[in-house]
Amino acid sequence: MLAAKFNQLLNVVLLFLLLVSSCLVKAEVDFLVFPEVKIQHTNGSSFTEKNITPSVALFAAGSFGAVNVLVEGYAAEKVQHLERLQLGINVTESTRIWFGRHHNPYGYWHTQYHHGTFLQTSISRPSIADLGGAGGIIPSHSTGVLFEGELEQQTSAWHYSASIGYTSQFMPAGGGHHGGDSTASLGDLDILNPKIKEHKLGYTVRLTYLPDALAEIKLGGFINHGNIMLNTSQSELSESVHDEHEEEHGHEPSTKHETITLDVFGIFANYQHQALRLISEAYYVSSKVPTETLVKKNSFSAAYLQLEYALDNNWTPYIRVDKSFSYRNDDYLDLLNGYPVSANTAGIRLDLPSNNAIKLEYSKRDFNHQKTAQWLVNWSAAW
Amino acid sequence: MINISKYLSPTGLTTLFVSLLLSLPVFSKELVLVSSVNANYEPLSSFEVRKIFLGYPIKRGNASINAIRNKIDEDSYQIFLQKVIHLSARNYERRIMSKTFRTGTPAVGEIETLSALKDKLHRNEFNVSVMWLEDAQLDSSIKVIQRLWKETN
Repeated sequence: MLAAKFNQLLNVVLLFLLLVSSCLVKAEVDFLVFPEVKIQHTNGSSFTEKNITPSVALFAAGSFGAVNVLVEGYAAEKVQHLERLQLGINVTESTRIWFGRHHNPYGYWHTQYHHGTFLQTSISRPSIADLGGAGGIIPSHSTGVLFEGELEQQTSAWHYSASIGYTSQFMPAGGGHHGGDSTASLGDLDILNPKIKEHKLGYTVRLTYLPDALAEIKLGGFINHGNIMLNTSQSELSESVHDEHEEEHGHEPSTKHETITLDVFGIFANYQHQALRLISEAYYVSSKVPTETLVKKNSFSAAYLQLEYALDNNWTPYIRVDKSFSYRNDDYLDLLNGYPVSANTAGIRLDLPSNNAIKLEYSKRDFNHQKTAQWLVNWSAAW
Repeated sequence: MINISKYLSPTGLTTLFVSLLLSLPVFSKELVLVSSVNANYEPLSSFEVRKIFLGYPIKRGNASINAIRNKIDEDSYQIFLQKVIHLSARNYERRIMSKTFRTGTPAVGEIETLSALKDKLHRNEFNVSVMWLEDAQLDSSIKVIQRLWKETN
């Protein structure tokens, strides 16, 4: 069993190295390795070795003149995936076009942090920015085209990005790219084994303003539209949704039963002044969920605020409040039962020499029908 | 041999010694931006210097200027972080790493030996780095582009 897991991990590492070496043999390459061990305990549950999850993200990027290559692999005990595989061209000095599987460019947290949790202060992610494969509500990756660039105005700047590509598939039994056990999740297109017919197109447009082009203060907004295919076993879930909410308003005749339409609008801000940092985002999520005979329209909104304060170069305590609004009887959230509709989180991060960090976090989370309290301990590093 | 103590009292000797010390020229530390002696482009603004050392492109003519972090001397690196970049070492390293991880753009290179730094500067006239003025003046193949910071006494 252990040997099989090790072989899977080894395969991903070898594949990663093969891709990198074949693509970047003559280029100047940046390599990054982000190892992590997370220990999780939910109050009331027994603690077993399954609560300890090691993982590693491997990253390489390089250029041949105007052509850029970016590869990122992720490996944990249960899942090994090629997270990003991008081939890009510098259209101008400040604009690039990428082809391949990329991060869906929405919001602040999702574009700032992904794997490589060493880079983010906290252990957990805000509910609305959680990865689709781990029970998050918005597709994390898109496979297609990403266009991005910067416009500078003296010392301020605008950053923009637009993505169009194949988006996620709804997986009722979980097993997304983070290998959820039972939580329904969004599964992204596997670029090494693409099943195009199981995915539909989506797009995202994002605009960010930086009052100081070289500082971290950012304000912005985005629009995301996507069609998320239900896989075949979804019909049972559709029936139950239909039974529960048959009498609700906002119905449309359903001609196709296999696609959820998702529209998300969001704004975000990151503010930093000396030791203080504030991150906040607010999303409005509108969905159309098919049932046996109808397409149900739903909408809810959600926001979070994270406050961090660096006491010195080593210790950074933080708190975060996640809140959802008008989420009752939302059919889309009923499907994604791993989404906490509210959460209060507090934690502390200790930075150690050589890019190592240890974090401790406690959060109380409300999953609509169930409330839990969770402890997390995490070691992460960047090499 | 002349015995000065015969002519000056201990107080007089002390006064003479202090006067000599004060009359000596004062050498204060200066941090400078350097390149190969073959480089021939206009100095950069302080905004542009920060920009290239944070990993953003700056062009002179048709070529991009490449920043190289000089980590040979801890003192000069700390002054560089405080006075030029305005970030702590932890935040600077994390910003560079994060930018590369997010965007795939090259990280700002770093050098830990003087010979490697000189080699990098000589190999490409658009490579620039930061060092103490007194170190730069010891090597005729290095050109001082501009002063970044001067110690105030």
